[in-house]
Amino acid sequence: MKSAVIFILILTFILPLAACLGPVSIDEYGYVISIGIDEGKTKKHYFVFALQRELTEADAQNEGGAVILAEEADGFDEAVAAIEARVPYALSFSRVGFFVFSGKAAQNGALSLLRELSFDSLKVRASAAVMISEGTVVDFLGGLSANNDANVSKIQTAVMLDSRMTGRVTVMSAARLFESMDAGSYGFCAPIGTTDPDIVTSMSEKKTEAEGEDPLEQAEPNARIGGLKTYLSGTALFSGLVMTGVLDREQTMYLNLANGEFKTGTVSLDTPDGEYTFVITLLSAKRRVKREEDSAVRIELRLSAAVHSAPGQVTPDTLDKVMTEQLPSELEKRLSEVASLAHEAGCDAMRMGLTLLRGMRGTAPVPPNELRALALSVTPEFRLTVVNAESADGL
Amino acid sequence: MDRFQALFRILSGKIKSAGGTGAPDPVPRSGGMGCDSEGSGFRPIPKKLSSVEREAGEALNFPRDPDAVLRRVKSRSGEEALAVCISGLTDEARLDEFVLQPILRSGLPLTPVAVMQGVIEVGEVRREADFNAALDAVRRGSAALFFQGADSCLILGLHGFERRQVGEAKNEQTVLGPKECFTECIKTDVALIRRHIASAELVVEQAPVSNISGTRAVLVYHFSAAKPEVVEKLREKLKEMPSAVYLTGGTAEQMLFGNTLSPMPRVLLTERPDRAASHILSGRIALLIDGSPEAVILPITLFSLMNSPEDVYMNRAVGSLLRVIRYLGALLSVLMPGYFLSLALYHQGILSTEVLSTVVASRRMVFEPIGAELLLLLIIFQLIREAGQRVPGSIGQAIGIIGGLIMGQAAVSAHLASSVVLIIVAASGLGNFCIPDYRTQLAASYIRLAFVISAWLGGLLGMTSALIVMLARLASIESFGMPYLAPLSPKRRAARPALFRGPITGGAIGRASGKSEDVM
Amino acid sequence: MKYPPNSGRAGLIASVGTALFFCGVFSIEGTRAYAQNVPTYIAIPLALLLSLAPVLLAARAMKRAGARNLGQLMRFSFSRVFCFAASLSLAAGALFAAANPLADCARVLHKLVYDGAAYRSILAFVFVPLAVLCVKGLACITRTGLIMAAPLAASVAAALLTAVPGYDTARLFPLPGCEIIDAASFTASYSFAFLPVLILSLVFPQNPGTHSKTAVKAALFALPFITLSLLAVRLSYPAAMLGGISMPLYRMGLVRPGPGFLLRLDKLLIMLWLAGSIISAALLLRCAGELLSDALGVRKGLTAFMLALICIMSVLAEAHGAERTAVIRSYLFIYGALLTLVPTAAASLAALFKRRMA
Repeated sequence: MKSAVIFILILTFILPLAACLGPVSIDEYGYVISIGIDEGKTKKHYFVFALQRELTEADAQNEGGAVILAEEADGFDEAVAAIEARVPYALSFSRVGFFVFSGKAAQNGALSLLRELSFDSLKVRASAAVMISEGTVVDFLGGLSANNDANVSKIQTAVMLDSRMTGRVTVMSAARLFESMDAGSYGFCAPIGTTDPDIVTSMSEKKTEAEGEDPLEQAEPNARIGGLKTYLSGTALFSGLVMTGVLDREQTMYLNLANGEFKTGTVSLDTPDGEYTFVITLLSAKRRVKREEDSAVRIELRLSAAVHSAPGQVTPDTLDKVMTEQLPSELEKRLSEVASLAHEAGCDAMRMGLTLLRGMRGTAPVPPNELRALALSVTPEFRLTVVNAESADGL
Repeated sequence: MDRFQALFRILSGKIKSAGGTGAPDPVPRSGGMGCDSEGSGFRPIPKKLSSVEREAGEALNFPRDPDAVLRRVKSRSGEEALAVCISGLTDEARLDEFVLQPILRSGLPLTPVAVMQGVIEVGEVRREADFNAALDAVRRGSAALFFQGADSCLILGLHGFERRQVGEAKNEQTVLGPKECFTECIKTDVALIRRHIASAELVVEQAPVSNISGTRAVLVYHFSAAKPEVVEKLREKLKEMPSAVYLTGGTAEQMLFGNTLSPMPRVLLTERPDRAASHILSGRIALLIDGSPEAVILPITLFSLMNSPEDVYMNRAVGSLLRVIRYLGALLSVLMPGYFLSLALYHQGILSTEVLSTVVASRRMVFEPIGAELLLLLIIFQLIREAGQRVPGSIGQAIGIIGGLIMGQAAVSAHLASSVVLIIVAASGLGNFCIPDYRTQLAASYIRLAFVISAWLGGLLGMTSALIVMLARLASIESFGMPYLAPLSPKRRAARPALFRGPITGGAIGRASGKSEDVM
Repeated sequence: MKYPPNSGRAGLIASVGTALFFCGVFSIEGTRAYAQNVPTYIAIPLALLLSLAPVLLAARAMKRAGARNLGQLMRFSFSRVFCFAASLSLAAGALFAAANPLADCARVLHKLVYDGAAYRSILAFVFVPLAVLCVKGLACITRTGLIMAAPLAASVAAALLTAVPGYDTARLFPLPGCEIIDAASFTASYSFAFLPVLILSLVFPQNPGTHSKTAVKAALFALPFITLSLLAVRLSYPAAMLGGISMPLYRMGLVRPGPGFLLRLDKLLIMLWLAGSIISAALLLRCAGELLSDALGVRKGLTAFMLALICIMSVLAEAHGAERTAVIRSYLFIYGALLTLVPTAAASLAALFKRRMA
């Protein structure tokens, strides 16, 4: 009895103090899944928010799944306040998975906005990916909505993951951006995407319920048909927070090879006489970075590869020669090209900063600017060894 | 050696057993099966039969009470005897055939010893010198036979009251194993346990309860397995029990442990003799109460309440799986509604986008806040459950169907509730039914409510606070010295393991090894 | 009912181990540690082992004096007045040690989970279970600690494992220089963080001679978790960033790249860690309360309850004056531990001296 009295006294004493922890019901929020930043016309920025639509049976029959809200503003909070004033819910950013910057905005250093945002108070996770859009952000985000599939979040994530599995996309998050700025140990690169409005999907653009056009029937001959209108097309290189260069998908694959993010890839190779074309699948890569005595850096890659397709009349010896001699030298050439492009863009995309750090000792962390400058002064050499996975040695 | 001496004393009848040894014994001063007489000590039997008749009539409210029977008989030798019984409790036909008629035909002198040994044809008979004890025995269904000039009488075990037959355990059903259950007759219950434990070390001991209704109770335990200090402590607690309480299994628990506000049961009430026997063999004590069809088993832990007899009848792997599912169900039942509410109100980011969209869409036309909606559905669920129990037979089953299916669907269609919340409540209810013990189910419902309120107030923080308070409370509960959460915490002083089914090794039992067999 | 003399040891080991873990991982002065590029994943575990020395001394003294707990040792060694003064000192040390992890958890909760709520609201929810545990007693606290040990260990393991894709050994560089003295000084000073927990655990009554085993087992239980957690933090963040991050072990889960269902359960982790810090704080406060109540002759539950109230008030005060109290905290970091070290060491030496002379 006594303990019950004490317990009740504690509750009586405590509960008035407890007041509210600020509950907000789940249906009183709109959940932002992507935040886009573009250049504003009248104000500094143009903010675009893509929200997940509620899922009901009726919605499943409608096209698209995202609700797009946009507003021009000088700052993020201003944009949010303006948008919340005209929607019947508050915006919740706890599900944000993507930050998308337009190319123009990125070239003007708009990524600094990420440093100004309070991720903690917005409850945005620092693992949110950062992407660049070649065109406008509105087109980019609109193009990532699929026909009759309301789950925009899943589609966007799948686009990223699937692209990554082709090895031609690099994935970067806000956390990695902050690390590159605060530690200076590598240069920031973000995937860049493009929207092609000419891609024909089976999505019906209904203006009224009675209307039902079938765009497939009306497509131009040889039109691009199917899939999403937006796709990832390469990598944007940054010097600090300013976009300074772009790599295409092929070049991105070599970038991934060089900086240890390689997953998989394919290479087309013509024989010197131009008679045959080989398509070779790169299966795995072991990367080792060596610092030479003269402070040069050599990246050694041991690749395992297999022939994906080759002309039938090619002899095994020729094939082996292509794999072990021609392919490595070709890859070294291409890797060096990519390294030069990154160097010209002032981006330590090859992560030389990390390599230099490994050789350092000290009682204090190295200042990021100093490390960055050191890293950019080093251009790596590449040494490749290719092992034919289908030969006895490869096994 | 002490153990064998004690055993010898039991067998020689110095400590009375409830079933009766059948052997004639020195005239006892207090009754065998009965408790102490109402408020008075020893009262000698009047020598004159007329005095006996008068005093017995007064005590039994004769002739106002039409059931009291006082019958004088005279033998051929001219001596008289007086039979006293209560119609409805005593088997009058057997009294007539095996007692009164032989006396009428007898030419022997009517003395207690002579009649007991040579006249009547009754198996269970004993002499009694205490008049109060004799009347007490009559009130319990025996018949008393008084003789002119004798200082003792004969108590005849001719119980003939209507009693429920040994049926099937309705509240503890299993697929495998025995199906019989306890009844309201204490003799039958003791006999059922004796059939499961036919061991010389089984002790059946009259419980020292003293109450206004004269209810009898016995303690049943295994001499080697049970801890003597626990038995002694139980005896003391039973003696201290207030007399003005109607003794049943439920009231016994509240009297033994005090009237706390804790919803957790501290004893196990079981209606299965096999389960009671299993606990007795593992060192626990069973308290059987006349008129109560459950055995009170103590001391117990929380894990005893979560075990089902079926776990032991299956092999170890299957038994363990069943237990894991049961514990998962219990945890889901208690935590899931509160967890969902805390995510819905405070931590929406934890939910995936799909779930968020679905929940938001399902609540589109629901008018009440989500916390109120959840509480409302929990209350409705409890109403359906209570209604289903109160209404008998097939109608009761129909209520479950009507309430569950139709009301639930109707509530969603009428936008009184959302489908997601309905599923949460239904799943929680199903998990609750996985708990084998009925009182623990109700306790879990009570605790679930506390978690829902704490989640409403503080989200996961509120639930964490409530969880710590609940764990602290459970950790501090003891059942006659047995910590409630043993062997999880503390690690000793209870049978292991708690969660998974242990092996049946046939090893040493009870307190001696500390590793008793897995119990039901 | 009387318990056997060593009853509840497993719970005590688990609870003390949990408290040591929180001391080692959540109470780091990030600015100092990471600015000097100290390898915390080596220095702090070494500090834990170093902090066992005074505890083993006290355990030995208790064995020689035949004392079952620290209170009996102090009564054996000191007069009544000194006992009271020593108890007060230990209570002050306990308050400081208990408030540290609670303040860290409350700060993270306020910043990252309940940013719309007032600090006092959050602390109200912390105070209720803390007070209940303090009032219930040591047996209840150790049993609850034993139950929560497994989920806590699993939560730490989950936090470490889910962050694996984000680990990079390059973040360990640059490796510390050869300034051994700096590292040693950090190690020695950090050993004070563990002292209040280990010393106050001696209040729990046990057979003489088993206290040292309990302390060592608790330290060994906490050691791998501390080491792995600190290493994981260094593998997830470069030292340049760590100085400004509070509770990096929690934030590790927020920076892991890629989607996933389980990876959004970081809020569950912080709640489990809050539960662990509440149990740790309750253990310290109840131990201190028992010492004080023996000295004052007041009911143990009441003393522990008042200490819990003071502890929460101090956390609330810190929350409202964060910059000012951060300075106080940095001083108390060393001196707070001395509050527990000095009376214990004095009692131990006095007992050993008395036994030697006897």
